[in-house]
Amino acid sequence: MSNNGSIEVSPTAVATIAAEAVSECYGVVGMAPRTAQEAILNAIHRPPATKGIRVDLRPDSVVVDLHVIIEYGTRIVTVADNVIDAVRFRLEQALGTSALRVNVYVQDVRVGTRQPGA
Amino acid sequence: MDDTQLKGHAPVVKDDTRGASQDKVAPPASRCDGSALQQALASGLAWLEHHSDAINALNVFPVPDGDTGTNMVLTFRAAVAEAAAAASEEIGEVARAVARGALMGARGNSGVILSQLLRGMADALQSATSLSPRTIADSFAAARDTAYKGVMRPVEGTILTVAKEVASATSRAARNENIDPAQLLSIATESARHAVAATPSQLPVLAEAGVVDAGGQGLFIILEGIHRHLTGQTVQANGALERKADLFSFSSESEYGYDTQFLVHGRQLDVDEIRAGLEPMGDSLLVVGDSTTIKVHIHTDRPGDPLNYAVSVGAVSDVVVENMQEQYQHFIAERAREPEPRPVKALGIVAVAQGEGFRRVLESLGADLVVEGGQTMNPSVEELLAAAESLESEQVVILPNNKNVIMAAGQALPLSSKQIAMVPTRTVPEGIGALLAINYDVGLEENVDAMTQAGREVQTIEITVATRSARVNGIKVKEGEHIGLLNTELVATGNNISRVALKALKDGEAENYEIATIYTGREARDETTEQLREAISKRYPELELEIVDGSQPHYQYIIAVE
Repeated sequence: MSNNGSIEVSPTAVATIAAEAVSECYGVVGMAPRTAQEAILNAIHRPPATKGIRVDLRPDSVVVDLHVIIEYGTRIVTVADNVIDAVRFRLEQALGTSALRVNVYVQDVRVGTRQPGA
Repeated sequence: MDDTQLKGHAPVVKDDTRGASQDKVAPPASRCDGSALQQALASGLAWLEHHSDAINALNVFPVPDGDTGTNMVLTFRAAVAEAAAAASEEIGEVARAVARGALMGARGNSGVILSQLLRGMADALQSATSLSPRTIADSFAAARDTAYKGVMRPVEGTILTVAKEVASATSRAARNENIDPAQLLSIATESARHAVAATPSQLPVLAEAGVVDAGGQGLFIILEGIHRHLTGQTVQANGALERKADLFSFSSESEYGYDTQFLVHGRQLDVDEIRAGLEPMGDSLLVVGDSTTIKVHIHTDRPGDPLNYAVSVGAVSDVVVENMQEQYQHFIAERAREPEPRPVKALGIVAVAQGEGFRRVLESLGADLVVEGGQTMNPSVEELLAAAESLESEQVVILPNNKNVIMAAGQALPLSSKQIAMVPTRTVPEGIGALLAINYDVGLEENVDAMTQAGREVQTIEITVATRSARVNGIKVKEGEHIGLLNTELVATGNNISRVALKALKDGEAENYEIATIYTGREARDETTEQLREAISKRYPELELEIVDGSQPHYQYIIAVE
């Protein structure tokens, strides 16, 4: 609430910012729909930019769930940490609040073309 | 094939800081190529460690990965440590260890990218039997391929671009059959240098901040370190090199004055149309989002214009307008402050010491430059000379702080265009005593006399462990026993540190002095320090005792009595 009225930020706006932050994180090669049903819904309704991102605007905090696909061979814990740091940082900047919870779900690991014997 | 393979310049990393010209090392047998690889990487690490603060300083944005230099060092250190512990000296085995270490030790975004580069290299080196230029170039190409796979949207102007340029340049160069590994690394280093210098033109955020990409810089430094190793140049950290360090800076002032960001909300927003509408109003335009929410970022002179436009298409929120000139000026001011603009002192001081704690003490007492070195690692004449020359002062005093360095320091004197003098301090405490005697109002000669005198008045007791059995000064020493040196002469030996120290204090006539400072070494244990303190204060209750962290290697304790 500000003196002149109220500002509301839509979950989609939050998700867009989060998506932008995630795309800067090395090791994340994609976002994953959580369920088959969501995959279908995503395909029809939601724009691809916020695929795999769920934003829950609670009265006292913002919860962001990120479903990511990580490149094989990277340290998953580190990449996930980087994602949390980056998303949290961008959202804090944009929303001016630190009442954030960022959860990362590593939905899959993408195994790229690998040289034999490694 | 031997002469076209990567060969290490033997123990450059630890013991040899004297440069290439003096020792030609025979090429190791090809079986040992794994250890040559390990040594080359260790040199890259040493060089990187030594530039990590400068790399950190490139992170001018408050981004989460704000300490790129530190993250790269931690990642690369883990890789090199794992390589040192590799089960065999086969190239493939060592390379695999490098990749494993980097994977487990990866920190931050830049660390993860580095770990992927190393993994790509390791894959390519899996079945390699020698480190020929061809093999090295192929491994760079594999590093690039692997690293590019790990990101959704590769951004140019980053470490990835630098890796790409290095891979292309070395692949081309390796077609020439007469090239040797050192030349190939020279080409790799040069291409990295150019790629890093170009990053601001590829990434506007870098240009705005007047910096090059930190991760790319890190990769360049690693390659430069390896190249230095192959050509026999030192990679050991020392103050003089740090000042000469070849780091890029880049600066530009953005054409536009205000960094403007906001969100536009509405229904059926058209991203392309909005982008087209905003385009003429400024540069660095970024319009992202969907039909309900769009984020706009633009640099403009009139922040009102894009906002007016935006409210005509939807509802605006999260408006942030920042004065970039102010940011830029602030940034410039911060940077200008970095090497503290001290007034030029009439008398500059170069001191030699080993250990972070000693470095701090010496610097706080007025040493302008502390060159890393001591008992096991003597700085070369060139290094001391470079250190003295790098100071702005016309008169310089060198404090060798070690018997073995006094000669090198003496040789540096006539080689300089400056007026250099040496105070032959044999230990760091003597150097500290000498520093305290400086009088900036009198001339060089007078100071040298006063400093020499003051240095000699300090009694130095050093406690270390005998590395071999011997008989010195009529005292029998057994390997592994503690020994006590009084002013660099052996006076005591035994298994109990406190007793050894007390014997040395007695020989030094500690009862005639007022203050004793115990400098604890890297290997000192807290309980031993406590025992030592108690033993000394019990025997010499009049002596004022102080404990200072010297973090010196090899000597558990160095005690200064004055």
